[in-house]
Amino acid sequence: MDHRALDSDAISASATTPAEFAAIFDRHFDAVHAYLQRRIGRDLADELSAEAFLLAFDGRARYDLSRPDARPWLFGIATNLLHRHRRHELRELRAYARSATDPILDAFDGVDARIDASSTRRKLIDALAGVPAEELDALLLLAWADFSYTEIAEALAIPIGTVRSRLSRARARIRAALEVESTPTQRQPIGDEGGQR
Amino acid sequence: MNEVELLRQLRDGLPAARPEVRAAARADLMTRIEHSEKPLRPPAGRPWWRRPRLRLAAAGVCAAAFLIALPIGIFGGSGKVQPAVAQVLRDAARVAATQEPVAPGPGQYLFTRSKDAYLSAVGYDPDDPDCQRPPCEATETWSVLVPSVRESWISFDGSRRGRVRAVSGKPKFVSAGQRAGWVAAGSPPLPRAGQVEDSGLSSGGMLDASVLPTDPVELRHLIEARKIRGIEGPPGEAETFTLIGDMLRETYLPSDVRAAIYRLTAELPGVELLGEVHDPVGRLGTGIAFTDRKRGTRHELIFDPATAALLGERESIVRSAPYGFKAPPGTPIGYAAYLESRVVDSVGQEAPAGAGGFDHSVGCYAQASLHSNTAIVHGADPIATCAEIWREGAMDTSRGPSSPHLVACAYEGSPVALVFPGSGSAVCRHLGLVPFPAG
Repeated sequence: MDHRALDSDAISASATTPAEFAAIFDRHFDAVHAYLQRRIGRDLADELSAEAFLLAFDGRARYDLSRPDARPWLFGIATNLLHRHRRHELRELRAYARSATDPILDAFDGVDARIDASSTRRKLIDALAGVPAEELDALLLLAWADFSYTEIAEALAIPIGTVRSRLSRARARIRAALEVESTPTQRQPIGDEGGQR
Repeated sequence: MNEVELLRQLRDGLPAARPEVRAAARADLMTRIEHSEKPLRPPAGRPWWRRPRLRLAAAGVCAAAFLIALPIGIFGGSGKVQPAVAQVLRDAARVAATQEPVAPGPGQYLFTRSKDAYLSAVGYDPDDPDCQRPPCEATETWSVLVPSVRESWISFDGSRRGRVRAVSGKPKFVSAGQRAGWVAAGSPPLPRAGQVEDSGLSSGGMLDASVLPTDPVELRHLIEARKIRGIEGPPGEAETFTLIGDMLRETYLPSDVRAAIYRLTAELPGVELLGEVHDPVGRLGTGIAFTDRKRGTRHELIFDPATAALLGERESIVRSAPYGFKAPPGTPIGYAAYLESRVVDSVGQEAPAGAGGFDHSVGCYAQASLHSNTAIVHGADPIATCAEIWREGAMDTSRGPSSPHLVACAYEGSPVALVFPGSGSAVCRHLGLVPFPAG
């Protein structure tokens, strides 16, 4: 129904009429699922995207009604769920780097999961496996969810300055990995985390 | 190209969430929403469907399941014989008397192809993994017509096993209201089209024409007394009309017996003439009907006046909610059209290759009563098949994942197993049945 044009209106109405929350699902489920699927594969995405909307519904009273678009909030919930599967995500990224097939793409019929051993894509994926989780969240919300810096800040509940520094470090890591003739086991330590040891 | 652009191309263009995944997620959310004011229940999940009460036009083996699953029509219908319908049926009898079907040889089969649809309920079972202990309530159910193309091979002399193969089509909601309820619940997945039911028929499925009198008065007496093997059922005029349909569909009868059937139908009170009507696939024929006021349904038989062959039949509701859902009078709840009938030498002849299986048709009853809710299934072991359905919680949601003691019975001579809670053959006898398998 169109009379709740803004997400914040639907969420507000759902306080007294819970069924209004269905509009949030209808508007955003596909996007949330697509993002999760790209990060951790189809099967886990099926599970986590459903869970994300249950958590969102349960937590709707805490939604900031001054924000008309619920996307950052929903992607923030999805990102928190992803952290439970961080090890899985890393494993998949490393498998990708080693085996020349992307296990996430491999789950789909008719999608070519093979990757040239020397390709940029392979270096890229290898570099992603080395990006710390909080930087990776910011980077992939930017690249795969088309989020603005402000939206990333909302989703991850961090100040916008922190978004900038995380993105800057993550991008530098990726650039370095692409420029260096690296093998999957050699990585350039960049930024705070890299220099801690 | 910068690194963000490169990243954007990585794993780009993956297929969207599968519709069933989306529907299941939405159903989970709607369940949560529905119970947000109440203690949370496990989320809805795996769809299940069952067939309550009605399976029209499932002749031969399934006819028994259809008949027994209906509420008794003892007081149904009490109209008078209408002169117009009597005349039309006497005409049909004259035609039938001149149409001698090809006599089958020993070991041959009657092959029939039909299109039918039966009333079914779609609903949800609580998600298994989250439902560790009762109560695990099934949520709402909605009524649909499930169309199918059905082929049957029935042994003429009863010496061989037969076969029934049905391929389901896309379910259709019986009314706009039922559809709206389903949409409001998040459009959970419906049974897919293309499901194949393929089961063996034990021998002896064919009505034995040699024991049937050609005198209409005598034949009517046998039918009304429920004395003909394979044409049994509860008492009542509506039931008698249904049994007449059973004798005309998927059967081989000599012309004089068919003529007698039309003649006795002409004398039955309460039979209406519908005149020239279309059968469920649009063929013109002569329609007769019987309204069962107690049950709130009307059963139409449509035959070809030129050959007196049964073309099709239809059942519709005449008052709202006889089956628990609201729908306008006239809403169909089942139909069948008989498309092709011939004598063949082997089971599977005329059929697509690759199918097989010799399961029994099984009715799983919720209580030790022929009028309790029924799930009609197929399986090699009737008791094990029904026990599985009980453990799934589909029979009695308050039980949890367990099955009561079950006992398998049947109408004498019927290949359909009827499985009830209880133990011992006394349960069967109490219901007027015999233990299954006989002997």
